[in-house]
Amino acid sequence: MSRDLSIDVHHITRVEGHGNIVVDMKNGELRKAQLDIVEPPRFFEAMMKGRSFHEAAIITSRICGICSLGHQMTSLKATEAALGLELSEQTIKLRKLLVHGSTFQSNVLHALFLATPDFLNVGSVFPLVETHKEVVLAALRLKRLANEMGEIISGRAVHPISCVPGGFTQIPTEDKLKYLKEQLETQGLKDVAFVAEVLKSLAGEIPVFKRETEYISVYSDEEYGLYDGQICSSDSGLYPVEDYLSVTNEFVVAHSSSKHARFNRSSYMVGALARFNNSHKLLKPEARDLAASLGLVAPNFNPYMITVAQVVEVLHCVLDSIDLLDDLLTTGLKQEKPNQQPTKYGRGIATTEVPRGILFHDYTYNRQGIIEAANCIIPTGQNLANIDDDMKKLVPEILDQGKDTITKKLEMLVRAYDPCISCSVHMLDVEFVE
Amino acid sequence: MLKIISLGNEWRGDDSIGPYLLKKLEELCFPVPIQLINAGTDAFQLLDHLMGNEPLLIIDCAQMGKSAGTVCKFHLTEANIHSVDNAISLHGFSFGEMWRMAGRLGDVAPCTILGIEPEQIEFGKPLSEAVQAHIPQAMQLLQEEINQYAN
Repeated sequence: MSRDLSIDVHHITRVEGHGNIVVDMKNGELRKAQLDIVEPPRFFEAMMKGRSFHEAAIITSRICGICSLGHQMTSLKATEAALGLELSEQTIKLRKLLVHGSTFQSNVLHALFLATPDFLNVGSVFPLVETHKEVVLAALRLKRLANEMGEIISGRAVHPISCVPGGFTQIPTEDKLKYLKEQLETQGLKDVAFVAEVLKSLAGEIPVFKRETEYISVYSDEEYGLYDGQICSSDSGLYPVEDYLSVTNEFVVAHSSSKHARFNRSSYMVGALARFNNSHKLLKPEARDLAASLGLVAPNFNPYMITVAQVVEVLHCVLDSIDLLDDLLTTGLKQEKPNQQPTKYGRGIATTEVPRGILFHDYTYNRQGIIEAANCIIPTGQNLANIDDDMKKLVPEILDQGKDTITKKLEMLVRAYDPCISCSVHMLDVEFVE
Repeated sequence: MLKIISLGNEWRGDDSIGPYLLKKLEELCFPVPIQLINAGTDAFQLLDHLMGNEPLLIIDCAQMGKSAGTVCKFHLTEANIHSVDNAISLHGFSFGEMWRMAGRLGDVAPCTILGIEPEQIEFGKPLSEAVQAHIPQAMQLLQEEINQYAN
């Protein structure tokens, strides 16, 4: 392989995002290795100004069709923090169920539809239908089950409608929750076990690469941090969510229309591997065992293992959903009305783990319950600097592996982070210039 | 239960004909229960419906090489899937890809397409006059299809 290398994996137009992988090496010196984000900003924060507290979650849910639920949860929590709206235990349990459904659906689809084709050396999920039909069917069943959780608990699978500030406008029936529990206990767990076996059989295809970085996630002493908790840095410990700006430290770079973020180092990682590294002791025992059987041991510094961490989380989320449903059914459902009587006005900040990592929403309300300022920091933006740093270490290590292999490993690296642009990255045109 | 599914972006000129007709159907009373679904532009979300047993009636703006506003109703087969193959695409999945994937995974729900030839699908534009002129014909064909299902 020449000591000169120029890779330009250029984007094709997709509505959900544009990204280019750019590598430039001259005389053995790496001049550039980065992920360019060329998608225009969408100005959601500006759209929020002047809107009432009833509208905030409905609008921000539209930031993403995949993790609409995560945005909605975080938005509701920020509004509730700002207006002093207390929640019932029942509301929190129902919301945790929604977060679990959203997480395991997104993780399964990423692991099986976007990452697995790489492990099997096929270009997309379509050849998998011919060769691994049962894998695709298992993924689709889990997706359907998560959709049902959304429809039963929140009225709709995407962009939920019954979750509002202070609670739910409609409570699911006990029969429906029993049905969900039965589905999770039978077909759900069976499909997760199958997915785990498939991943285990592909373990040898996961690239070996190590770069220690800072891992940031939601952390709770009581449970694996997803719905709520403090900010946890693997480098420097716990911070209240109100300190999120001093953790994220967003900054602008020339090659990305999305801001980058850094804290104690030049970059940090968020997402499934960050959650696993920071909270692995709080996983369900079966999920911890699964992680061990898949070779995932904390702390793990291989970003390609994000996919494995996602599958471990799928099992955790299904098991915890069964426990939450058990709790709700044992206690009995109460027909509660949402608590929408503000006890204060001002600033509210909230965080939730969405599938791709820690998400922050920050709103300031005036005394009429109208938003005066808003800030949303999404996980993909927080991962971008870390992806660049990974590339800078990875490229020199694999320089002797040939153009095709280098390109594939770079695409796999970006895809491992499960960014919102991953669909585009999966189908990029590749051009080498030497 | 018959599922009537609209495809298309409500903000893109004639691409909005599917959601427009679906809204008009919402105002009607049917002799039997009918499920009305606005699937937007995400073909992937159709996979579950395509893999089901219940018949689907899909309303979409489709580039079929005919004059603008032309309304065509046909049962979807491998031979004519190209008519709607590129009608929608998000996340890299087109409707045609989803239809074929459903077929490879098992039985595909019987699928009838009501396609309307667009004049323009630019963002921010309303329905073209050519397409608007054919709305009564499209509604009549939809009503006939519903009546046939009810009987």
